[in-house]
Amino acid sequence: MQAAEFSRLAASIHADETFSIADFPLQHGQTVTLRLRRFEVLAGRVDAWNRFPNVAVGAVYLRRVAADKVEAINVICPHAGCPVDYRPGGKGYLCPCHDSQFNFDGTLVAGARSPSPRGLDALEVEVREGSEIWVKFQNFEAGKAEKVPVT
Amino acid sequence: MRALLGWLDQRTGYKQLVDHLLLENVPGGSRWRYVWGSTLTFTLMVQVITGVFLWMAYSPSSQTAWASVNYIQNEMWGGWLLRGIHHYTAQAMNILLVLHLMQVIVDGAYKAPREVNYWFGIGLLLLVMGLSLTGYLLPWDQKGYWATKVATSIAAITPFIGPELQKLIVGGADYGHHTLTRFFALHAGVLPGAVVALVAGHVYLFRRHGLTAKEPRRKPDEPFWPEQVLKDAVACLAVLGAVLYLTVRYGVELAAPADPAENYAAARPEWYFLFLFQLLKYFPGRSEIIGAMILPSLILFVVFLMPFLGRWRLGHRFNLGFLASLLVGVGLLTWLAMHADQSNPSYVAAVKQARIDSERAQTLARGPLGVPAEGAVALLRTDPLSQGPRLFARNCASCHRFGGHDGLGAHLADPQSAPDLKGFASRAWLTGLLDPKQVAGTNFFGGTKFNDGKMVRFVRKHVGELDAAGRVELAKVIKAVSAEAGLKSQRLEDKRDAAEIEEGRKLVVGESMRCSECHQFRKVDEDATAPDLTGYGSREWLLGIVGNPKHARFYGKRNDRMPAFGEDKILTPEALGLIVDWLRGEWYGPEVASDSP
Repeated sequence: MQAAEFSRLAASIHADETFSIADFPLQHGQTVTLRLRRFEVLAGRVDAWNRFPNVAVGAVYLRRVAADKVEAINVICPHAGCPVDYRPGGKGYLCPCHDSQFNFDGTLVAGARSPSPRGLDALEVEVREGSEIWVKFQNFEAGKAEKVPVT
Repeated sequence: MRALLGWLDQRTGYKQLVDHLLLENVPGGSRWRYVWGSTLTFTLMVQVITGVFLWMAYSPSSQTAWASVNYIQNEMWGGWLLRGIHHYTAQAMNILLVLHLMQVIVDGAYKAPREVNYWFGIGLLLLVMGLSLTGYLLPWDQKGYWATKVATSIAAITPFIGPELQKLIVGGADYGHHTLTRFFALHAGVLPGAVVALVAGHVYLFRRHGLTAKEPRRKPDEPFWPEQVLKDAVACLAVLGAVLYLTVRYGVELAAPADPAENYAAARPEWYFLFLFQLLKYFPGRSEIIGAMILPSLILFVVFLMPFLGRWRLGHRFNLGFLASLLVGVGLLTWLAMHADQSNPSYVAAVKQARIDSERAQTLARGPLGVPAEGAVALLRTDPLSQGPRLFARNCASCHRFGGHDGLGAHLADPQSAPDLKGFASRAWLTGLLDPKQVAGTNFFGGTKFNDGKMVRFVRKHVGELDAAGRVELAKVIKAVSAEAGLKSQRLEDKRDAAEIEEGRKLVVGESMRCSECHQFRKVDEDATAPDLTGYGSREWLLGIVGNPKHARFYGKRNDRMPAFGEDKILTPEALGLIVDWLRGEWYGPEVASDSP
């Protein structure tokens, strides 16, 4: 991948529906009012001898925290590089590989003895043109307590 | 014949070599417990031969790897058998290595003067594990891709050189062509070369020191030929038989093509690495290095030192106990990993989905378009049947439903606030919409602000009061409007009922059914206040309404909450096309190919 640049997500800051939870494994009768959704990040990518102008380079969870503010976190678990999923019951994220548990804001669930050395990696978000959501997509080195970008 | 062989022997001396090989002394006579070394040599030969044939059809790049393995598996003559033998023999080698190690420790064959040969054996064990690890990635399917990501992430926590080591293995910062070229060079060049070198040294040292007899000896000494050769041959055939049985009975999986943007919750290493995988779960945070490196290295160090430990009186017993507890520990961890997975419904569901995706990708690869030049990853990414439900669940199911669920089969707790789109624009769907009992139900207008709108009131009053003749006309209207969609599933009915559809079209614009009071149909009507019925439910119409429901042609200013997915660039045109094609049942499937005229 090239040096981290901002990529535009297929999301609008104004459309609340964009953020509503659709793919939660909820139990019967449960409701969740959080507004978040997984988005693919499309960007240019160079793979040795090929240059791809617009391919999926990863994915983020986008979370609405206020009417005009969203936060983005990389879906990759900082433990060993598996993409995390929602925890059953809408209680945050769970890594399907080694069971690390995270809250929706990406922090580690306290007392859960997760193998991950740090919380999920937050990414820089910018709102452009009034409604477009741009994310500076980066991957970070796995297995470390500190966030070191992979370059 | 004898003269010819004599001529050959004079020039090569092969008879002496054969005698040397076959007349090796077996102290205490032949025994079944000595067969493991031969079975390993045999499986190594099998791997070299099948590996070379696989090499002839394999292409290591991120665009071509999956397609070439799929070709081997599904197109090439005998390819499935070739790949199956290679796959299961690799697994057999891991088992045979453990059996061989057990026999060597139990019989004390690791003690002086055979230390070096023992270390060669341990080296071979590690090399075979390396071959398994590198081979797992080569098909570039979801399974190998995500499992290997974990393995290479672990390499990154190596002290001091971790990140550089990872980059060296992966061939850059990210997985791609160079990951495959490097793994393939390791798998087919470096590691097998090292294995052959170590095996040569291993066999040389074995012959130099001779076989370590199991005491007490039950029989007088025998030459290797014929008794021990027979036992070895039977054991090799048994291994081959088991491999063939597994290949024919279970086949070899090829998961969907690797896709860095598609989660793969079913990612697991091969079963013989599951104990390492499980071990990682117990070391939280910074202590990961203990489970991933320090503990395995310490164990390996003890195994390495066994010849020296074995010199002491209790040392041999310690070695036996250590090996036994190691095997029990590995077995227990493997069982824990499998048990945790089997009792985890998310994992079971992920495995099921992985199987569906795997079969679908292979079906598409066999289809009329085959694997596109940009690579196999495009197969599922451009397939409405695979992407439609996922996109629907993520983008539509917070309001709409599909047959009562979210498209992927999950039943949601959030209340349904927009129509159920399964079979949209089909005759059955329109019949429901025009049913006074159903029109204001949640599957149609119930959850929207139109639940007491003009259409609902119209259906309740006017349609509810239709007489028998009116109901016949209504059926024709439904057929006509539904025919606008041109649904693949209704192609035969639409063709059969062409006359009724023609009558229906006249009724739509006529006054008796009153459709044209609000809707326009086939000609521009400036006063229309409800969605256009021209091309209703067609691809173009659906792309229009999902792209921008506020357009005058659809709901205009009366639109209720539905976002303009195209106009506001919430979804790409490709994604919109996939959702629409999926809703309309437009995808490649063998059943469609066979029923086309």
